[in-house]
Amino acid sequence: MERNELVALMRLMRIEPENNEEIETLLQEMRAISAMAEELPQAEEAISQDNLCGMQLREDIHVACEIPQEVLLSNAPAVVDDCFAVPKTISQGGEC
Amino acid sequence: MMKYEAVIGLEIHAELNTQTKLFCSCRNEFGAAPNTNICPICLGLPGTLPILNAAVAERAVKMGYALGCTINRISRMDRKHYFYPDLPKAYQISQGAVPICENGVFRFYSNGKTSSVRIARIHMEEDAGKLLHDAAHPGSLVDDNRCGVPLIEIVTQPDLRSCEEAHACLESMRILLLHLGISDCRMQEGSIRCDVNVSLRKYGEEKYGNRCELKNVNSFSAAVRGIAYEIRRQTEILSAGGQILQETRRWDDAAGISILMRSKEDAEDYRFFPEPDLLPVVLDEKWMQVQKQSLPELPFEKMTRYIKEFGLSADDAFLLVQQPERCRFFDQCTETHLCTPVSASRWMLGEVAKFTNETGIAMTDTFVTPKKLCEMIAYVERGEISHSAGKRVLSEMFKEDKEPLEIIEALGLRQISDHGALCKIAKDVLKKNPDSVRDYHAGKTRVLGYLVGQCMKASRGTANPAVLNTVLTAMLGEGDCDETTV
Amino acid sequence: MLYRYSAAELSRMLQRREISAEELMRSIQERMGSHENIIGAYLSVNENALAQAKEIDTRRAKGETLHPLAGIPIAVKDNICTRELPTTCASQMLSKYRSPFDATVVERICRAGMIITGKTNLDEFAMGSSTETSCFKRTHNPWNLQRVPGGSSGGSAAALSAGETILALGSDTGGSVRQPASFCGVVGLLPTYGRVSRHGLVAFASSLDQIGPMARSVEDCAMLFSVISGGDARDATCVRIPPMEYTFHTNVRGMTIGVPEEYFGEGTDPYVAESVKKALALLEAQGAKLTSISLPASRNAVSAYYVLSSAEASSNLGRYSGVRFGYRSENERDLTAMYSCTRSEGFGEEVRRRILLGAYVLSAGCREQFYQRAQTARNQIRAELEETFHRCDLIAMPTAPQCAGYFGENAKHPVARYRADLCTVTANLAGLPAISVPCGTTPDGLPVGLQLMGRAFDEAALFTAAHAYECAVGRFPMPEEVAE
Repeated sequence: MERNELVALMRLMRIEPENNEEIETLLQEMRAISAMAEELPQAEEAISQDNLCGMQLREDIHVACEIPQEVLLSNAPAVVDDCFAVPKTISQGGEC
Repeated sequence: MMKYEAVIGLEIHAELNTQTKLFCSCRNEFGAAPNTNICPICLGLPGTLPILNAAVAERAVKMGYALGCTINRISRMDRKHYFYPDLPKAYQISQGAVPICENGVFRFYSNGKTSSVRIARIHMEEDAGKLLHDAAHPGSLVDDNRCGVPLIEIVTQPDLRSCEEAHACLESMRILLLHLGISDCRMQEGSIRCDVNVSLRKYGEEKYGNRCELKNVNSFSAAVRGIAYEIRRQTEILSAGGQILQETRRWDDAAGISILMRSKEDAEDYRFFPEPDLLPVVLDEKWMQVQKQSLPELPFEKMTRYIKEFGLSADDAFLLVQQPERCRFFDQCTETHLCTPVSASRWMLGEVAKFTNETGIAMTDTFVTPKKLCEMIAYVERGEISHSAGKRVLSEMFKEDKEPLEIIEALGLRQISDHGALCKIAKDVLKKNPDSVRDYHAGKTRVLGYLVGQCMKASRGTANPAVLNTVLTAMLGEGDCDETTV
Repeated sequence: MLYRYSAAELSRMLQRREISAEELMRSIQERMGSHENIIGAYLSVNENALAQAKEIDTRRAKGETLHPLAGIPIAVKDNICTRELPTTCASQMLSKYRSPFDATVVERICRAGMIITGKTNLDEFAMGSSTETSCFKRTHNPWNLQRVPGGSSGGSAAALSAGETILALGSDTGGSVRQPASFCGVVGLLPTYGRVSRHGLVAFASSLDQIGPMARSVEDCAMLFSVISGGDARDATCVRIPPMEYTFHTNVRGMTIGVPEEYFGEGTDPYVAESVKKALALLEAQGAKLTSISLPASRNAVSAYYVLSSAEASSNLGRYSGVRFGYRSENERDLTAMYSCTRSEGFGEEVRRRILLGAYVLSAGCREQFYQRAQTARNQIRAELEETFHRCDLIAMPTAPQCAGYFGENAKHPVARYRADLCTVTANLAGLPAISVPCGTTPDGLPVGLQLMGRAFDEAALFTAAHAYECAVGRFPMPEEVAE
């Protein structure tokens, strides 16, 4: 892995390094992990056939959430008009 | 003449009309006060886990069968990652490598002709929240009511070749969703949205050109404008010797332009991987058979049948299937065998539609049942009442729960086709209008219309216009009429 | 001195009304008062514990039929959601977070009448094996205060060992219940994946995480397990089978125990290997059959584990962005700055490292090379163990190759440290149950853990063998005096 790849990765994950040293350490670790992964077997593309008993699905019945709205919003750093407040976004929506 | 052919593919996102959200028991409802349909699961609070709603899988499978897809008995939910404030968990639970339905074909009518587009896949996914921009607040506000609302995404192959065809495809897809009863398809509520891919290639070429993906297309008409704009933009670039780059562009409908969002190099890396909080979705074979067999007759098949079996025009057939309830009503009309299907459709698309549009009352909420409507039409078809009398009868039928015959009798609308009776009326009218008779004989035959009108008036609209015409012409020609003739 | 007793003993005393829940809780609280400042096991303490104990006494006095564990104090790892107490995951990111709901396991222990003493320290978001990555405090090993308690459930293990609780809950993603249990000389179980609901467990790596019971005896551990296990409609991966009902017996006659030699050789402390071998010999003497086995596919367990757990962690921790809950940076210049500053300031170094590592192994160019291959390795490990369990009832090995280390020892070589998880990660990757039972001490006076792994949903076999061993040697002691 190259330094610029790591920086791009950090941007992608919205994480900034504390200092240059941290980047260097991280780089070393990423490379160590890459080396570790070298030992892994070649990938076989197959969904694991375990758990194929399948998943029990939920019935489409409304159940009111017993937690009041103010409690659900109470952990938010900023609430305006019952909405979560964030710095201005550019577009209307993210992705679909 | 344009030397480039447009190659268009669609990704249609339809919100499903389930009671509850995809992964929690919160109400799936539009228009509630901000953050009132929320719970720890759709807020993505630490420690919460998704539980898949059975009704979503059912609706997706229905759509799959309707589009002739292969249904994957085992499919998988995956996580698609990106950061945006409207996405609580910073990933959307969707389906990647193994969607619930694949490889179908959608047939529809475009411009009176049959078109088709291959369906690459249908998958289930959750919707994101909504960002509100309030002038009173400097930032943006997030309302999570829509978080976790179930969507199916229908992805077509790039088989469409024009704006019109793409529009017909979208419109027909909407109608199909309505007929299956799986989505309300309320455009203004954003419950059906699409992304479009547009590329150009020279006529005769096999290979596709680089495509541009258009996001933020909020209505079908916006899709048409966006596609038209892209075709123009790309044609200009190619004609000037330029190259089209693979990019994602944002459609700004108000400005009528598309704006570069990101190029291929900056393509978002969604880091898909299987959702570990959910097991694979495994469908029961018997259940799948039941779903397949319970599929209703689809709009395309209906239209084809209406055209072939009943002789309806493609336009009328299309108008009928546009609304499932109208379509059901029409089907019931044809089952009465009281009148011809063509008359039934004409009346439904004419007077009945006028009434329901003006009043906003659904057809099924009126006193007019298919049987009553067809009885009334039968009177017109047999010439027992005039067409205009039919309209009057119908408007009375909307007001009161009465049989057509009752209304006809009460209003005295039964049409006079009796030769003798009409001769009598004509005789009176001619007697009162000697000037017109003279004019007629002097060659001004267009006074006939005036005389017919006078006769109609004298009969309070009950005279059969066709018979009346014959009678009048005969009398004016021979100068008299035999009242005893039948 | 009530804090020294086992839950089973205390349960009998409470039912016979020889003691009251209030007295018991007071004893625990006194112990916390005298030892917490040197151990540092708890991040928050339940202020209502005494009142809740009194309530149990009142109910008992009224003649209500109570659960056998009603009135027993229990410590809860601070990555398990509780409404009444904070849930911080030992992270700045959740330092002020209050969950609006209780985890399923918390509901179940409270319904049984157990009383939460407090929330215990852990490695930040359970990422670590020494409890040193906690952003709040250091937890000391009661056997030697200069040494780590293990992790990530280090707080729960230390609290048990120091007598600051009777029972505890931990969570195990790659050994986080078993390894600290072994370091602190207590019993810890990793249940079969899907046996205990994860609803309310703050996710680290969803396909590996399981909540596990911890106690000072095998019997206590089994009693707690039967309270928390069982299906839950709020966790799709939780198997809908009833909770384990376990009747104690110690008959290991005819049981075949597979012993993979590779876990006893190079890299394993000889004293550890010896203690474990001795324990196995004791089981053999009681009629169990030991058979030498080899697990070649499991060599890849650590690499596969770090790739998969980091991938899932990077995904699970995306939600900490300062919008709906948790820490938000003061830098709100724009959305990107708010996200980046919030996540960089709110997460500690180890967590940041795993997030980046996870994003790396899932990124477009690397998925095949890392994620897919790790998944393949995982499938091979599963298959290998499944095959092995045709021949064996249990597999035995050390819980950890070394005993508790000194503080700061591993920080410099995180990747090398990951290697130490070799013995524990296999069970998580295969989704199989495993238990760690103390089996002696090294000459330094540090506890050693015997690990037994079993077939899926056969926790009963683990308890039987572990109980047989414990009965034969006597219950492992608490450290005589907690001192430097």
